[in-house]
Amino acid sequence: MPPALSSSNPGLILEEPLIRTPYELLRRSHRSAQRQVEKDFTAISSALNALIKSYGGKTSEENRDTVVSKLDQAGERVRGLKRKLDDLQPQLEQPSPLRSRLTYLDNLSNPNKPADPKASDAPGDSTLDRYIIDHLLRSGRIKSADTLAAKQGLDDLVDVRLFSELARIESALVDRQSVTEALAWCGENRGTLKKTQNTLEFTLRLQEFIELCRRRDTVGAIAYSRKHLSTWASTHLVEIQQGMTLLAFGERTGVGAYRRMYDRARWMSVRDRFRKTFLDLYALPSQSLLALSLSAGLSALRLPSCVTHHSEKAPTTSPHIPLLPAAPPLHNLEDVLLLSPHSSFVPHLTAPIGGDPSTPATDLHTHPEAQVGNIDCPTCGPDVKVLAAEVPMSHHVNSTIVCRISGAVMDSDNEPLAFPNGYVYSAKVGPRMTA
Amino acid sequence: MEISAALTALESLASSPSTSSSGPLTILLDKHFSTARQKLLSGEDAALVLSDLQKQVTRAKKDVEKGLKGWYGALGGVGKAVEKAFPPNLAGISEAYDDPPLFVREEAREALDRAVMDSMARRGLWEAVAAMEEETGQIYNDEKRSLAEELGRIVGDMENGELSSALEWCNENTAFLRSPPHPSSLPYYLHRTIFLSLPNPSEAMTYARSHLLPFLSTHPVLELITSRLYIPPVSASTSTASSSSYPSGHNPSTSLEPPSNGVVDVDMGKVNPYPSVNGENEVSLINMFRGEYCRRHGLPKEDPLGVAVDLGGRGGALAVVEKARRVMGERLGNIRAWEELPMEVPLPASRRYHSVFVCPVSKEQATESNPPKMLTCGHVLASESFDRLLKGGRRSAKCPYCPVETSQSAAQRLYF
Repeated sequence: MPPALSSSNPGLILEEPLIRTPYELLRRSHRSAQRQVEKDFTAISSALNALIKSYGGKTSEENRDTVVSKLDQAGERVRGLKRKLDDLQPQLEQPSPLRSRLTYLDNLSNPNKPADPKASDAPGDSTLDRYIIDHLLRSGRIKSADTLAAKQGLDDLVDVRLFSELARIESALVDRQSVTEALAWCGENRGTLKKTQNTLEFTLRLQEFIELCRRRDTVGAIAYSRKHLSTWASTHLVEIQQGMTLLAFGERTGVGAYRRMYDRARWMSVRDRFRKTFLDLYALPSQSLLALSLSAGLSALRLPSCVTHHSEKAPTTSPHIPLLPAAPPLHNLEDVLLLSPHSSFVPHLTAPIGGDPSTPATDLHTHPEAQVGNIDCPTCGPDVKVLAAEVPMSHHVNSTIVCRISGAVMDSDNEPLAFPNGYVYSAKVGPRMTA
Repeated sequence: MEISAALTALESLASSPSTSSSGPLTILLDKHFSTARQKLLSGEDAALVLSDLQKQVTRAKKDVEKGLKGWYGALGGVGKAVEKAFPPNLAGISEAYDDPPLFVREEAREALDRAVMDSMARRGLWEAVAAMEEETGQIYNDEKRSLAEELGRIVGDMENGELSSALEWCNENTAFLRSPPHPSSLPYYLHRTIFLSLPNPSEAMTYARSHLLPFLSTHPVLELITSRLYIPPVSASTSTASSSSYPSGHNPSTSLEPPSNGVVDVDMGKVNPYPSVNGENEVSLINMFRGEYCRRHGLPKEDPLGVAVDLGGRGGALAVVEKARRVMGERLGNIRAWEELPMEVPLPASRRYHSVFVCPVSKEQATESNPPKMLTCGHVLASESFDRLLKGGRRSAKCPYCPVETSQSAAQRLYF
């Protein structure tokens, strides 16, 4: 029995938008189909009615051609509607993104299925790339995201177009301070927004009203408020009243409450409001999948040793000292010696036990590996560690001893051996060191 | 799979004119509009023709709406299946991290961008790196770029069965590859692969003499050379070194090779006494090279971003965090203020990078101020736990796990 293709599978918890977003887009298609049908049929009917009215009585030779050409125009409209409906309605021949994502997810969760050998050779499963694209799209790097998606063949699995729409509307809000695009989007999704009792539209309208007041176009502002704000009076009366006071106070008012409403930074909060609504509507989480998975992954890895290691590294001038487990406790001299990093004794103190003293050039310290606690550890990396600092530490109830030299986890097959100075290495590297 | 079935139901609606929303329009156009046109042209009363057509339009609209309704119904089926398999949980999970949002500090944002560029560079996605440089204004580190390019070039050569660039690299880094504590077998395996791919036995012997003999003391060279008597060389025409003579595990085509574990060799009619030669190493040559290259230049073996993301998502770390949050609820407070995860995330051995010592007595993780101490018997406790055993000013204590007494001065601080 293959693992269930659902978010109850712990590995698929982040794949919820991969399925839900295209489903929301399918619903969106249906809504636009409905609107299109309504609009086109009204137009066709009224065209025919007009035709009947103006030419119904008299059918002379010359106006027959006009009638026929008008009829053809109406026919063209029907044809156009048919084309649009064919595009919008999901079809078997042109699989919807939801279909390709289902197939993808199915392959992903059943890797044992005999698949296309080429696919199995592909490095990774493109999850990382999908998450990176999601991150890039959210931070507005549409071009980078698009390039990566095209290069890796992931166009069906990411929502570049959806996020381009978001970026377009957001830039209209912030850069041009125009609510037109956002309002058009609200209009398109009025039903859904109403159902979730979302009041984004009011926020946008109020902002537009504030802009009219800023320009001191009081007549326009009053007309605008009558037309667009009054409908919200039952739920937003206080805010409307506060807004109406702006008719009396100009942008340079000294009254704090009103000056705040004129603040340009208010556009930012309008933008945030819009983004949240947009993401919610398309079942996208508020944070990028990359950030979510990264934060969980990093905190599963992060240990106190990842942290102390780097806090020690910074103040040291000699690259040798903090590399291995702090210096060996020979007469507790290390504290004294660490204070004078120029001391020539230091390298000897930290020299590997059992290393060949005649070849100092090839001892442990010439190895780049020795320069960090563990170069392979993601949370020790210079960039990732900045990110790791934000997440909680991992939790452990059992010891796991990792060999400093081989990087292997020690167990009964590869037992830990303690040297007289307290250094512990795995049994399997012992022979190598003494060789 | 339920979503898939529901989606098929939805998609198949469009394939029949009677159920698709645009089907009635085809009839309206092909039949009613064209008859109306003909009738008009043949001189019939326009008023009559047009109001007839108007009726047809109204009827077609009803039919189209019926199609839309069917579409909506099928869509609802898909919706139910989606709701069942992927209920909306993620919004709540994500919101838990909203205060403050993850990685939004300037410093963190830039670090994340650099990590993303690193990840793409490692995989040779230079177009995407260039696009990111343009959009973020950050320039990708030159040194990292040239390293990633060199690695990409050599690995590319290896994928094409060309090992000379890899060998050249090994020659340039002989001292590094030979030195303790990680003497590398990479050069041996590279030469071995070439040796096994040479079709001409005498040529192979010459090659072995000059390139394999230096490894005599550390690797089973003689066994390898003699095994040529039993293992037919890889046919050079079809597959070069790239595909077949890699230790299995890298290339899917290895599964097509004859199994080498002591089976009767058909050509020779003898039991191959060297079963280990062909399949002894499970690690792919390319991965081996990649590992040595990264070690040489102080780069992590695997993409750090990839490791962390994989662990967080597919590896189930996020699911563990989520479970903890669900079980313990409000008591844990804001997730962004946690010092430590409330539950352990199981890690595979390959994801263990540092030693963790948890005292078996106190169950606390060892720290600088509370380091692990080994007793005379070899059992290890945290220092504080040992001190607690020395109660009442005693100079020695019995190990909690065995009868051996350890004196205070004999307890040895350990460094893992």
